[in-house]
Amino acid sequence: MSNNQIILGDTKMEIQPVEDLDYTPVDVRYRAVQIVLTACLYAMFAMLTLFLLLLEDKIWFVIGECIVLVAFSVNMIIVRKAWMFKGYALRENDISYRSGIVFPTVTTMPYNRLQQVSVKQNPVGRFFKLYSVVVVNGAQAIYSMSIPGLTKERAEQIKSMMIERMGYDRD
Amino acid sequence: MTGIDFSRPQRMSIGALFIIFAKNFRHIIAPLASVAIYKFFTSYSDGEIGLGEILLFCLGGTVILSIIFALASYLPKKFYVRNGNLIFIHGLINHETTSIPLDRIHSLRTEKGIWFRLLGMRGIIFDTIATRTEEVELILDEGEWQCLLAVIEKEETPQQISETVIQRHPDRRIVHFPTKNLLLASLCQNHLNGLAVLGSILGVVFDTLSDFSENANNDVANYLDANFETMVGSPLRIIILLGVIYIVILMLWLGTVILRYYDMTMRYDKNRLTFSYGLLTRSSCSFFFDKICTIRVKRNILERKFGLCTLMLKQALFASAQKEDDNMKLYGADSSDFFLKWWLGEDYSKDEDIISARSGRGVLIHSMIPRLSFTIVVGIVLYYFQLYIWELLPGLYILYSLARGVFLMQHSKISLRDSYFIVNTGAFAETVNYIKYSNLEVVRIRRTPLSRRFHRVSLELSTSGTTFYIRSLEEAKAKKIYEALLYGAENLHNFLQSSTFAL
Repeated sequence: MSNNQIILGDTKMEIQPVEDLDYTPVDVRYRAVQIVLTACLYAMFAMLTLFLLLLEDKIWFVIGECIVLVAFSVNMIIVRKAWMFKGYALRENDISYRSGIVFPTVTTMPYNRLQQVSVKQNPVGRFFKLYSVVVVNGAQAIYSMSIPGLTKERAEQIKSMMIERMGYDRD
Repeated sequence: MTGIDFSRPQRMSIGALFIIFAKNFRHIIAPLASVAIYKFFTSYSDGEIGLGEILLFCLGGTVILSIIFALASYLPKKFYVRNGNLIFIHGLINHETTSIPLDRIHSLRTEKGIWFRLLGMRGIIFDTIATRTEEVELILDEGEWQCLLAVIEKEETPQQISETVIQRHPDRRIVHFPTKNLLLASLCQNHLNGLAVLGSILGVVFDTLSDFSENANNDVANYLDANFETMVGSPLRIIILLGVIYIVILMLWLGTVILRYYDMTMRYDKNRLTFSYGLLTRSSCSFFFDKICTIRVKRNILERKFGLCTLMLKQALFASAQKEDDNMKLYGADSSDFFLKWWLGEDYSKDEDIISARSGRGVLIHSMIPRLSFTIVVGIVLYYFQLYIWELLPGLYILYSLARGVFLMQHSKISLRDSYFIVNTGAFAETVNYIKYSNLEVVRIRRTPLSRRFHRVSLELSTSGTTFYIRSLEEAKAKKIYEALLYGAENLHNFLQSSTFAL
């Protein structure tokens, strides 16, 4: 049995274990998507902190806003690193997705266990012309995996390849 | 039949729009009516708004909102069948295209309510074996439904059809499980769990009784006030009182087990196990050979001593059929060998470990952190209220948690064999989970910030009915196991001997 890596848009094929695969990074525009989403989230936190103004002691408002600001700055630094680490790799029999900075995680799903494949686009993704591929299997936990930050062509390419291979049994 | 081939993206017929509108109308009318009634009572008396205006507002608002939501739901929804896949386009804000291979459709559920019947439509929900996914629902007229059904039946594989047909074999055998063993095994269970469950039942009973007669309640309270010191004056009496409560609860627990599992009978052939059990209500459940995803064998200290075990058969949990009855617990004599031979093959015990990994101290730390945090908080609270003698309780809890963590660490292990793999879990009781490679749905490897220093990682495995977290494994071994699990049984030896895999 072989389980060579498939590099889309390239003829290169290598035999590598999951840990040493060449992970394809998600699109560079996805970093902007993450920045926008993180900024929106922290803006919401900052608005919520405004409620502290209702208290008599206004110092809590200042402390609250400072905490939000520091957390936002730290998160902005992490966003870049998180984007750099995110990646996917396709092999003949399975797909792997790598993510996480504090708790780095690699998840692998064999194609023959997949049940559904979806291509999704949210409003922020629509603005940046980015899609995500969501694969669903029959597992009790870790039942879906979402690969974000893909161009339409790449998302369709991955989806077609997975659907084609979903019917294959392990050799 | 209209002969539609569903090869191009198409919307559901216009009747579907009416049904979606009717559904939305039903959902919106209730809250809007509540608002209208409130408005009526607050404004009508002041002569601000008339009854007619309020009714108009309520009906008009509901109709307008229902039309908006119906159109928002109907217009983006399109579906078609191409290359053996049902493709479903949906979502107004989150645009989504979902592809489901027709041979993965596990069941079709249909809905035919009053509106469906009036308009000659049928609601169809497509279920795959995915446990938690958004349902794909189409509303089709009878002609479209028949055409779609024909397309799906054409695409279904013979293997799937054979799975759904109940095969009857002439060589079916019957096994009876003696009630004596059942009672013995139920006495060997974790009594703390039983006490907690049945204590809560007693609480409900007591609560009901106290409602029954307030006078009786007062009499009991007066009696306790008068005789409390005599009743619980010495520690010996408290121990006797607790002992009596314990025996009562134990009797109730035995009663529950007898009611549920009395006269358990199992019929089996090579494809299926069927259990029937129960004293007052006879229940039955079937387990197909292909649907079982894990066999779990649990033995605690008492069970090991008396040659007993608790065996659990776990099968796939589908989105449409998630219930506890999908699993079966067998208390009694150690019959694990029989079930494992039936499921894994006669020679399953001859298989030896090809590769295995044992958890490290990380398991102990992981199990201690939440308990330690809880104990510290409780300790601080007790200290604050100057209840120094009660500080003993958090201390005992810490000792219990430590013992539990040590046992967890000792038991936690994964072993890969030729045709199956074993995951050992459990704290005070040792639990052995047998899983076939073909049942594995997903594998995940997770590192922590300490992994760089200690080279320990966690493995997460999930089947269609069970999930396992094996923490603090040696990184090199975990990597090898991760890869070996994906390669499957047949290729395991070749893979592990392969020179291309260098760690």
